Amino acid sequence: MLTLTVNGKKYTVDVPPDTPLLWVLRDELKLTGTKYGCGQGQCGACTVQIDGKAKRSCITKVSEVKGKKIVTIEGLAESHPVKQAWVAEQVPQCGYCQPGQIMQAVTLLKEHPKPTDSQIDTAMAGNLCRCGTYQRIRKAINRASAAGGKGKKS
Amino acid sequence: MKRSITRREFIRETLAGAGLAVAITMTPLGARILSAKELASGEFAPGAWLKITPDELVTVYVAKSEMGQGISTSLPMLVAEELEADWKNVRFVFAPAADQYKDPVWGMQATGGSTSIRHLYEPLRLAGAAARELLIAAAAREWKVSAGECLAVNGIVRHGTTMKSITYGQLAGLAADLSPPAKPKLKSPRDFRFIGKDLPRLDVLDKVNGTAVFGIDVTIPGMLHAAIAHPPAFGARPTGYDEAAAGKVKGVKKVVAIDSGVAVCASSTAAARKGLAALQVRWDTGSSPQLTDESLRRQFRDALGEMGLVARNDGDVGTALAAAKTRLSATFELPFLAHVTMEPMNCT
Repeated sequence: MLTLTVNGKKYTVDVPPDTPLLWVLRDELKLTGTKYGCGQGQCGACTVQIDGKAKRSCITKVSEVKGKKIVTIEGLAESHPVKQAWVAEQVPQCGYCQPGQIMQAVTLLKEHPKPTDSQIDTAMAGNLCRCGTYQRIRKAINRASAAGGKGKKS
Repeated sequence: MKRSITRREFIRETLAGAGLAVAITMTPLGARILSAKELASGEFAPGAWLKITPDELVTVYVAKSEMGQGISTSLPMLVAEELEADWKNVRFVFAPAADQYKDPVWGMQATGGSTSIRHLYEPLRLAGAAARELLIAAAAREWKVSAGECLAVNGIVRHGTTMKSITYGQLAGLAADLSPPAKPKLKSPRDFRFIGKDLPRLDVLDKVNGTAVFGIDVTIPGMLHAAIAHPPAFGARPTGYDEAAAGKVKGVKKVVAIDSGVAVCASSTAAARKGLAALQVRWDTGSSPQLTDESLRRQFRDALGEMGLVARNDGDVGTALAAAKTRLSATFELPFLAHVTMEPMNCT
């Protein structure tokens, strides 16, 4: 049995310790906002925050997050400036990659509240969008940055 | 928990209860609006395409797949336009897999070929217009005036002379027993408020919140998860795999041979994937062993030496090239690019 803290709540799960965090979130905790894209840490769809840092949950073993604070897309308030910027700019197309994009962007803005284009490129390069919403993602990041960037957890 | 409901439950839920539901059935002669009596008779199995409830919400049943092309917004726009709805009260629900929601041109449920708007432009506008006329008729009956003196605008019916007004939510229950018009009147395009305009999409919030349900997110109580080993070459079949090793993985329930490969069924995705890895599937060379990345590359490079199809022929290329002071030459190679979406193929 393992105890996890996700979005401020404690959960106890009975899974092998080498289970990828992604599947614990989706199948055990029914938090399906975090998505499976490649299973190899190459597409970014599975991005969550672990102790404030963006991490690919598909290649993170659940045993590695014992005692750590996990935040998923469900853990950000709807009023979060990044979510609000994403809505204002109508960023999503199919929407599948967007939770991962948002979690990565939230971490970027925490580290660089006024990011340069180059910092945005570097931070977001690992989050693939097959629909090609990249220009709207950049606009939304800049919009959130102008609005103050950080927000409350829900 | 996202449980799929039965067809009967869905129809009962949508057509019963408080509010006004407009159902249309597709016939070879076009869309036909069904009366409340016809609905009650149970003879028809209509698709409810829109419902108005006392809380003012207008729910449009979207019978196409939203893939980012925006039909979960644009199809409700067609209804809302003719209905003269208040856009902020418009919601959508995906219709279930059912004959009632077949595409009227194809006679089956499918989304593709850029046809959603084309095929549903008329039926959905008719449904919205029928609902609008029903609501006006209900208001006119309530006020004991003629329908011609009433105007529907932005979710409200107003009486032209007395300026009395009543909302769609208040009217919905009152309109439910009226017979819908056989030929509802459609708006002129010059009066369009929504069609042709850039409205905020109805699905964006769910996609930003992570609550939008993709195929891969569907869960049903007691379901198993399967991971599939696909052949590495066209037509390749498994020559062997270690079923016992897969069975030893905690959570694995069954190994199933399928036409195109092998599947491992387990109580969780993680267990299914672990079981698949333990299977160690061995494959034969398939139906076209000579077809490889390298053989395709060689084929394409050889084809460069042949004359291709002429797309355009301006001027005298042969002479121009021969007389050119500087000639630039380059070969561009592209790998096979699959149409793959970020969401892996899946089904429930």
